[in-house]
Amino acid sequence: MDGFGTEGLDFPTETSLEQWKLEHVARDIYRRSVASARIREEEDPTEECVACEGGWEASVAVLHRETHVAYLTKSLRHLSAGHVVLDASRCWLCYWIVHALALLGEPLGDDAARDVVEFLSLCQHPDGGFGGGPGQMPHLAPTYAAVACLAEIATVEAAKCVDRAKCAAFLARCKDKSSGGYRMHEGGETDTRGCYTALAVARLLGVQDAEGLCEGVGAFVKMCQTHEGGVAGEPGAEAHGGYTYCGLAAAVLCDSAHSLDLPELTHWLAHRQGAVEGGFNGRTNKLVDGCYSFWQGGAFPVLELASGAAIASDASSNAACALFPAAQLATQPTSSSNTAPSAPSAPSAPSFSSRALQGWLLLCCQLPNGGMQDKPGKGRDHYHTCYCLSGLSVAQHWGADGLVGPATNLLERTDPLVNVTEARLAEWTRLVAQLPKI
Amino acid sequence: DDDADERVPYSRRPEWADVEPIPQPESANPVVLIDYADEYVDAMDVWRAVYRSRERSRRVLDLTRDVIGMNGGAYTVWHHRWELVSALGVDLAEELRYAGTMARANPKNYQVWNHMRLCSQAMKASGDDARETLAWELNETHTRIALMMDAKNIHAWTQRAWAVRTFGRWTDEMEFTERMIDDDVRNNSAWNQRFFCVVGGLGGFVTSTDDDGNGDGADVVVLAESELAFAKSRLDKSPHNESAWNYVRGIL
Repeated sequence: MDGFGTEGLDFPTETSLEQWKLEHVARDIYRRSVASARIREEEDPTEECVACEGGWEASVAVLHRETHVAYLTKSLRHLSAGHVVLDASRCWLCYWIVHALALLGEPLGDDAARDVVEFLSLCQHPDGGFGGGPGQMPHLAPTYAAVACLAEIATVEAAKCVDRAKCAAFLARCKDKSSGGYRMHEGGETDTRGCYTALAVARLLGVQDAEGLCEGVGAFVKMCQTHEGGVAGEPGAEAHGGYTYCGLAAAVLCDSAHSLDLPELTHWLAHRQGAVEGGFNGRTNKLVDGCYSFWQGGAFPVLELASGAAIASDASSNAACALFPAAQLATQPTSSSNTAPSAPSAPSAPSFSSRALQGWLLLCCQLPNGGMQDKPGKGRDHYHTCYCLSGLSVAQHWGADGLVGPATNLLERTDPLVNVTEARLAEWTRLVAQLPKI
Repeated sequence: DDDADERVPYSRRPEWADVEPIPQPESANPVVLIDYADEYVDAMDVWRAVYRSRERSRRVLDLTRDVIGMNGGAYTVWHHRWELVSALGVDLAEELRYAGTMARANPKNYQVWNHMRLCSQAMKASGDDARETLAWELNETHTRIALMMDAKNIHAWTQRAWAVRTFGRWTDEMEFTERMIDDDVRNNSAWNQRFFCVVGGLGGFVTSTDDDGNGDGADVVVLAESELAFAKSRLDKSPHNESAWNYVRGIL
């Protein structure tokens, strides 16, 4: 998005007013962040150059790890009464919390891991698949959340927890043969989320070769690709970040990404990053939101996987955040037991401003008491904590600009197709391979 | 009177004395345990029992309404409710209105809209023209109300698109998109809906690879030119409007 410049003032609508307000908030945060870290006397830089010096990042663009770990660890046990509206999403709460902790390099202790596995077992339905909580009917979304959470735990108990044969049968029951899509549950809605959750689960359980699983998925996602280039939840609906990630990842998992118009998709995706804010929005002319750091930002590595990084893109026309010009020298971590950020992508690969995205997440999405948020003023929740951190990991490891901030900001690397940390995914895959054939 | 004080738990209501409540299974050392309100635990424990016993009655229908009122995302309870609606012959139009009311309280919820579709499909399947018209009108009204609260509510727009396609209301919807674009020329959902109508109303545009023969070639050109003029008139006022530019690219 280019911002509206003076046009927004000449012809204001609700959209432009909201956008102008958010840009103002973001600019203000960035200016104050830089000002607070100015250490030495220098000529007043123009506001476009304040971030060029580099030094301010180390002290201000800091990921407050301990606060997030404390928030997540407490939430893993107890949640306030207001969370009753997520009573059908407790598997999601497990995944959001466990995955976020894993990204922060804080795996669960043995007791906690065992307790989560036991809880997820209670959510597993006798006919296969997982419900959002104990005794609920199976649903593709909590099924993905439960299996991805188990994969993140990657113990023998976790691997044995899933009845893979029954789960595969559940996936087959959700398949809508007439459209190629997947219903979220019996009698439920068919949309791109269904394709993704079913195929990601199949990949995680090693049943991706099941007959009929992939049939028509590429065609369904193609029907959901709109005139804007992004992907909608269902044919005719609006292109949207969450569904774009789901559709693209589902197509890649089915090896049918070529069914989509990838250049158009890339064009739409590249325009989703806010030129001032640095974060991503989910739809044209909407406000940026921290969670799209993963749904949109994470779609870039998926595109690389789809195309082998050979897409010609005009992502370079995206105006990167003026306060975060692409660094000439990427900041490298000084010491790390993690995988170092990968080398910058090939010049022709689709790209986004990973510096701007990291700046948005670190400076606008962190709450002082831990947790991360959609945007300033919204307040923290576990969903945003998970996807802000997932997006931060993608930006650090897959982006072209390396790490923003001190070395302690570095998160674990996440697999962009299933959003499980790569290290745990490797262990999980090994364990699943040793299970009896179904 | 204070409703909270007046409310008698199901476990103490004589008309529910025949039902043994079933508590929620939890692990020995619970995780992600929500600090449920007593009313919720009470209602859910009774619901669990009648869900398992497969009782089909009005009292169970009323119970599902109560639970959904406390947790609109309880998809199992919504599914259960649909089974009851079908089994008990509940008036579908009333049920559609109920879903629409719940949509106002839970605008980002999937279940309310899915419930609306199930009711609408059943009304259409009745074969009665008056019922079908009523189903369209209820969909139109309730999605329009939701859009008055949030002009970009993607669930409401998606439901409208589904209803337009199901009931064949392309022309009506073109007018609606024009009104919404006039309200906020940068409303991308409205522009997307207009594109959807343009494509759908013609029975499918001629694409670059597949001419299915629907629509006279000349009609397509006339429509395209008219839509380009529409977009241009909006761009004259707000040239940096990405929605309008994407629309133009789509039409071309």
